[in-house]
Amino acid sequence: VVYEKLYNSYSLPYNCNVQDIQVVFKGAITQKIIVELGNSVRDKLANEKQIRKVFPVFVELAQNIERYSAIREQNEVEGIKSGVGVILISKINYCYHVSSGNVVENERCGKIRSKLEYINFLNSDELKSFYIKSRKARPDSDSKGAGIGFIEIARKSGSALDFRIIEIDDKYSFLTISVKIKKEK
Amino acid sequence: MERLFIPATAFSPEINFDEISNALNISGESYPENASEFYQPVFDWLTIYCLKPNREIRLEVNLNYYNTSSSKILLQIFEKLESYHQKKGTAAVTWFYPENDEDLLESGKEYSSDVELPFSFASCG
Repeated sequence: VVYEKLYNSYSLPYNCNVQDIQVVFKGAITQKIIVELGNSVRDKLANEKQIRKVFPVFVELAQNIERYSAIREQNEVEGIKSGVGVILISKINYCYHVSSGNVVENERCGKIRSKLEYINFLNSDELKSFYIKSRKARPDSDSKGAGIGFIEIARKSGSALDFRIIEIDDKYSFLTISVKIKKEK
Repeated sequence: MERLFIPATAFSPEINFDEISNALNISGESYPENASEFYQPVFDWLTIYCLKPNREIRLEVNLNYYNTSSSKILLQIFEKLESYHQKKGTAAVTWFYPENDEDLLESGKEYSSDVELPFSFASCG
């Protein structure tokens, strides 16, 4: 119940109204759901240049939930366990916002916070070299992907990643990340 | 050895590697949940393929989108060809990108400066 409340209250970008929502999903995120939501995003933004940035940010955030959410559920149709969370794409004043929310273990929060803070501190050239350097490195032992998702997201966005970590209890916190993609000139 | 062919899905690319013509082709989308698992047969095939010297390998990458875990795997494929190019034969990469997709062109250029392999770039309409 506490998670329900968190999903609803903290996952929306600051000034998002219902009519701004393009795509939203709450629940266990599987590969199949990512493909379906992704296709719907591509259809809706087919005539917008920003799709080349919105789509990659959407996939990275959705796969983060799929892989790392602390709450895992069995998907009845696909019969596999995957991470639970909320993912939302909204359009506010010509800018797209891709936002995600999911529960994480408290022991992972420090690492997530310092990584995101570090990335937000870098300019675009520094992000590029950090991306290339990290891609060549071996991934962390707890990483199921390449460990460069956040850097990619920051490069696509061109703005700081807006994130919040809200402690739920002594074991879990709720992580939200919201990424803004501006209208291209 | 046999040709390696893996058909495309909505989230994984078509792999078409022909050991006789030395034309290796990766095309489509690449954002599987587990990229290392998906690309394992590709590495297994390449390991055997690269044993034979004096090949003139042409790798064509024609991806519309790839996620960061696939990005890392692509680098590993290029590194494998780089090592072949330095010691055993030749290898070259053609990087296709959709017209007007500056991001994807830029990503290809980043690879080309990260590995010692000849890269050429072609827009694919």
